Amino acid sequence: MSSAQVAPLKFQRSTAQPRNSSFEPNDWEVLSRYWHPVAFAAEIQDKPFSATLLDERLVVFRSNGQLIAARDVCPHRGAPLSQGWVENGNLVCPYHGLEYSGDGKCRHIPSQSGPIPDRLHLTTYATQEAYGLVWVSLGGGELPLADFPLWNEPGFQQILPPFIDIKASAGRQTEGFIDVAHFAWIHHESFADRQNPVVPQYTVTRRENGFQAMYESTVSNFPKSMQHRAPEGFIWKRTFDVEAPFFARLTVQFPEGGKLGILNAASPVSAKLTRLFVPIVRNFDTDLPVEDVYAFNLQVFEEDRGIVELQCPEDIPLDRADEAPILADRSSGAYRRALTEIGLGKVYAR
Amino acid sequence: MKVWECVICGFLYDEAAGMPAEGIAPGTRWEDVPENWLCPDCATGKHDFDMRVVA
Repeated sequence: MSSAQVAPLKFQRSTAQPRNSSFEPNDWEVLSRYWHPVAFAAEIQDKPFSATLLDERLVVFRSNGQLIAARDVCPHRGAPLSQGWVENGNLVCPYHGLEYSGDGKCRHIPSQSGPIPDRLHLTTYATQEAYGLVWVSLGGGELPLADFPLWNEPGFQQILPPFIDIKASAGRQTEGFIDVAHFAWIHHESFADRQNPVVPQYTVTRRENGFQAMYESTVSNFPKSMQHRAPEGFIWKRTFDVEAPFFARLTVQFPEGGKLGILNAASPVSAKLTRLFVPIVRNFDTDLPVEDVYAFNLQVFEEDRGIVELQCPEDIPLDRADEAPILADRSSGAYRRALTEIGLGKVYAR
Repeated sequence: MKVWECVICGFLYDEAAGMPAEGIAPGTRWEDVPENWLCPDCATGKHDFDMRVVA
């Protein structure tokens, strides 16, 4: 008679694609290595917050100030921890009252006394705060978060408009943000002009993980109601700095030394849903109400949403035989190749 | 011999292969491709090609 050899079970689930994931397995694995925003840092206070990233449901909370993102599933019986609460720095499961401390370990089982098994342990993820947002990397967070240097520049006002949910892939949304030929068409009510559709040739320089595009044109960046503030014939300089997969900075030079920095941080909730965060900084008009910035930001991205949600296929095609580029698409060509180079396949989801 | 890539659409020009169908003989170096030559896939000019591979 030989006795069965039984190895103790491990508590930490390996990084794996969630059930019912909408991503191709390889794409999910690639995207999981990167940092993605899931919440506004200031909103994570004394209540657990529910978010979804790459189809994984997360609970985000603070334990004595420390930020924690964990799988929103109690290891005991699968209850949603985000429906619970935080007490004395511990996250309390709403189902049986189990309490988890900031390191993920279970510290209290109300229905019993005595030792607590190691397996009662949250699956936690790499987390950091930057640019007013909470960023999570499901795959360990070993890659650095891309930089948004203007955010902490002295003299710049930090603005965090509400996020916008877009029923489209993060790739399509990001490519829309860097597109310079659509201003005259989609944004003719907010800032651009159908009589000014020509895209002058611009430069694209490949960078590690992405590219920089420098675009000079006469397309104003003022909202229509403020366009009298730009001198006649003013040349607007827009610099796009993009890092794959979904981190795109735009710096716009305004008249009289004004500078506007916009971070298009598209979070892939799923292959077909994007939560768009747009931290903004500016060194001018800092006395004007931020609500006006919120409203303009919403107007512009709603204009995009009307198209981006209906693009077909939903996923940005990375095979060059799909879709037909035009000369204005230098930056989107570079973007698609950067996505290919980090290992993404031809589709995010079918 | 080098390979050049169109930055817009990803079309590759391989110096070794040339483009005989368009009258560019195999072995034609990039600098010898006519200045008015256009990318057959997206119609951009030579200026939007980057060197991709040195072979």
